[in-house]
Amino acid sequence: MNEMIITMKNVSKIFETEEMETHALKNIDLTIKAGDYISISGPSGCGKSTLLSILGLLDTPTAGEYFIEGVNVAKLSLDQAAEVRNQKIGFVFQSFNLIDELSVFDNVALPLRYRNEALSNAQIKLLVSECLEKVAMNHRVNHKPNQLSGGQQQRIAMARALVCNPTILLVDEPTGNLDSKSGDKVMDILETLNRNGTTICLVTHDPRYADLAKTKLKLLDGSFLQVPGMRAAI
Amino acid sequence: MNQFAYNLKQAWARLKRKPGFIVNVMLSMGVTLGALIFVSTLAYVMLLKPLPYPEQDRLFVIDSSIKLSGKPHYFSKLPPAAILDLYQNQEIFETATISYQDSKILTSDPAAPTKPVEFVTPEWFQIYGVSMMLGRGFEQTEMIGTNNPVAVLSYAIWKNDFKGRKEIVGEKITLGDVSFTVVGVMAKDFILPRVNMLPRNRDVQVILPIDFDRSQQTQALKWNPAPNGVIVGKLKDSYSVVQAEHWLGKRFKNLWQKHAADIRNFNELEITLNLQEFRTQLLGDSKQYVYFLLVAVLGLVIIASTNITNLFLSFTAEQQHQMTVHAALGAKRKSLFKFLFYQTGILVVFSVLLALFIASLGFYFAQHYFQNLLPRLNELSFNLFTFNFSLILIVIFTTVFSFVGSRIINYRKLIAGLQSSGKGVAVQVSKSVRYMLIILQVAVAIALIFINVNLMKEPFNKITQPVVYELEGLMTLWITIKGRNIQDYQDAEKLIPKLRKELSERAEIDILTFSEYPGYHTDVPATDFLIVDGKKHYFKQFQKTKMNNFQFKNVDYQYFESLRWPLLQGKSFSQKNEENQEKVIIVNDAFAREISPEGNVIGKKITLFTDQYSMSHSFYEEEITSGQVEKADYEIIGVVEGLITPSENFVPRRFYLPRLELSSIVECMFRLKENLVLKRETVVSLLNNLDRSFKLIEYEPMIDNYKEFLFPHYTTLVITIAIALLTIFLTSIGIYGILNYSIQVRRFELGTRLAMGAKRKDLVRLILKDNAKAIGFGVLMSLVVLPVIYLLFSDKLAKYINLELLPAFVATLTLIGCIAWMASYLPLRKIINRPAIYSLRGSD
Repeated sequence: MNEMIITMKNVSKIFETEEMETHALKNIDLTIKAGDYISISGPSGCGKSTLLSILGLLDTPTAGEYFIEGVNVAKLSLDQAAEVRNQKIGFVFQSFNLIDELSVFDNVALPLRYRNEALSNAQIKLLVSECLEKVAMNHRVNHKPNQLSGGQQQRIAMARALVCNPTILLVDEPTGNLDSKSGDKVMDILETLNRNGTTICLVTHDPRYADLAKTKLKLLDGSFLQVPGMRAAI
Repeated sequence: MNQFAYNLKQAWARLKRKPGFIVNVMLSMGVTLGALIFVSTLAYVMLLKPLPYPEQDRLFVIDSSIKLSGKPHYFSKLPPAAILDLYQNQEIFETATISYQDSKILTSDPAAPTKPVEFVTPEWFQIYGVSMMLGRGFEQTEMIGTNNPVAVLSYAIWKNDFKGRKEIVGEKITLGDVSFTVVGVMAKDFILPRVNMLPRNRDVQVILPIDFDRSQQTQALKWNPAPNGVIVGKLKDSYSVVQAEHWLGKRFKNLWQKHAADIRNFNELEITLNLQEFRTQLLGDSKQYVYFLLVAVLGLVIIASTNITNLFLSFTAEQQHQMTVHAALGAKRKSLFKFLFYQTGILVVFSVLLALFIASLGFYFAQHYFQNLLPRLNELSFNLFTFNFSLILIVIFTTVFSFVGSRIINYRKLIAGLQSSGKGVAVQVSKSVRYMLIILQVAVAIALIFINVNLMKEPFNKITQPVVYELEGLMTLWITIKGRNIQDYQDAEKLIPKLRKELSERAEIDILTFSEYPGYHTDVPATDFLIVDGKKHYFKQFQKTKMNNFQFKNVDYQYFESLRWPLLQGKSFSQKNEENQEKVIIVNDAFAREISPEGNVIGKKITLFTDQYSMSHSFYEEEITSGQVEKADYEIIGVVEGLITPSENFVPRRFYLPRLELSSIVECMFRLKENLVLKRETVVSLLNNLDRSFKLIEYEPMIDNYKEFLFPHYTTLVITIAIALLTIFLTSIGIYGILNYSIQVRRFELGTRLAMGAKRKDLVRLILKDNAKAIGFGVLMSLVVLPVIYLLFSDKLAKYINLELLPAFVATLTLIGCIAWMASYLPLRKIINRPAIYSLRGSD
């Protein structure tokens, strides 16, 4: 049996303005095991991105508990959260979020530079090369992001997400800015990665891609429609 | 017109949504343009505006220079006898006038105020085109030798002291001991020529005939240099300046030979008489001051313009969406320029209005506080130049900023952006433009702050320099013994002891001294050595400066005690020393160190001349060994701490002789007992009761007198601090604006870095490292700018170039470093102190 790497209990997120409170997430319970491939889908404004932000420690929950590999991460300081993000979480964004001034190599190497233990240049080169290999982009190592197509940029972003060997890969609408051909290719890579052992949590509103995941969760108005962890029963 | 109003309204509506932007632009531009308008008007009035006198370009002043061995001789001003001769016998001027400035007590007023007066010949009125409010100016009836006691009042004295009474013409006023009939009042708009002003004089208030000047009445003064006398004339068309100078030189040489042959080294004196343009004479050396202000204010304008350019660029970038919609609806490139032009115009007009208000404050302060520092300030006001200059500023700044804003809008891309729903065409201020703006600001700011820090050092040192005696509680009293010649000792011998006794008995007075104010000393001309204990002792220091190698001063026996001026060694003078004119002296520490490095000088004997005239007029090194002048050995009985006056940079070697100064000009200082006052009226009546010959010239606390000497230092300090603070203020908001914008532009990138696990310190380091490049280039550029400024002002700045510059430069760099750090950190705080999602939001 695979070990549980992510556990959320009763997680809520409320956005407050002067006029109103918006309950973006309501009592979310979620468990993700090593090797899972989960898709979270739902209509616009259902809380998908908020959930992904909290999962990725980009935001903090208003209430509830959140454990990554048994450690409670719900109340970490900003710098502690950054450290956990760096070591355990890989992000893939809809708009790739590559840094234009940096080469493909430096973009992929970026998370390695924020590690607590400094790596030698040779180690960095090896890790970057391995990850670019995984996304079949080794031939574009010296290019700048704006010299690449959207699909290629997203593959670079995936290599960057993998470079620190994260516990989980959080993928936010990876095909949103891509044509269908490039989108399909990106999804193929995700599937391959998962087959090779990478845990993936995918947020998408495209049912076609959501169906590719082993576990399909639907979010509506801040709550799951199915109970996660009941996968075996579905 | 309707379209114009509509455009204005729309532009205002767009601006209104960005109050921070409006405040930032208006503050930067308003303050800087205010300074620019003020300094430009000042420069215009001083350097370009014609003088308010008829045919002003034909007016010349006779300037004299008398040198001995290439160095200025103490006798550097023309004596009254020469002035009179040149005036009466001149051939070079169509018309000429002599004038002497002085002050007189308005004795017909019970408060006996001291009034600045000018003694003039009748042509004075013609040459300066004096317009009269009442009565007449001087005519043939007031020519030299007529001794006609009449007076013309300035508008100010007529309004303030005589309540603007029209009947004043024909009435009598008494100045000193002479009663003058008022014959006229000058018009309000007549601007008095402030030429050859006495250092502490304000605008002249009463014009009197030349016959009543002391120099015309006192034989002894006729061949003494007259620093307050001046000849101004309208040069004949038939004379060139060179020809006129030649005539003057010849005439003066003959006269000089006849009357002044007994002056020492007469044959070696190089005398030149120059004709100086009246305007140049009036400006003195204040031109440099104005140029410095212009350079400083242009630096501020550069800093503010870079700041505002950045603000406009980012504001335009933010308006991209609006402009896209306008383009979609058919707005052409020209219309988009107009779109920017109107909103820029509104801001510039408001800023210029604020600038005019700030400039008017500048005019007010300059006229109230800087009158003694710069000439022609009485002409400073809003004029056609200010108006036109402001209009030009509005046009230039509106056009430039609209143009700069429109440059970053790519019209083609705007249309394309519309077709592709705005993706990928975000208008941004490019990184290189931002870098350039930072580099420019840093370079100019460093140059300005560095120069000002250096310029403020000297006045600061002067102001904070401790005074060796105690100023508090010390009063100064300046009296003349009227109607007598200045060197008429007999009256003084009789009257001064009487006055000394009377004042000593006053209950309010603790102790008093009859000596010149501490700032005044007499130079002993050109010497390289002193005779100490019968042997020549050569000076170690200052051998290059032939003149003023040491100074002396006659003081009475209570001088040091009255001033509470401590003795470092030995004792002060005794009454016996003074009464018997004993051969003892007290020296200052600089003098003592010169003759004995260990400072043990008590009991040593210095050979000096015995009579006062030789002491100040004979060349020590020649005369003391020649034996032609009577001399004696003076024993050093005490050493006092050296006094450094506000006009000195080091302590000169000085010695003091125990002698009561006896002349018809009496200076006295006394210390009041604690909590007691002695009013001016009491002093006036005390003097009147004692002897009608006494006339009070001045009575004031010593500290006021001292502060007045410090005044130019205060103004320089205030101006340099103001420029430095303004530079810091503008640079801070400027660099903050640019860095804030660049961090906003990089928000998603920084968010991504946070998502990748970057900690706060990683991002702070990243931003500082990035900005350090631009700041570093700015520093390098300042290293280019500074030598250029130095070359432009080398004569003024030469004395500041030394090793002391290093700490000032390091301090300036530290300051700029702090500003850059703050400007980098503050906008970053918003990103690094919140969860990363806030920076990433909107990136998709």
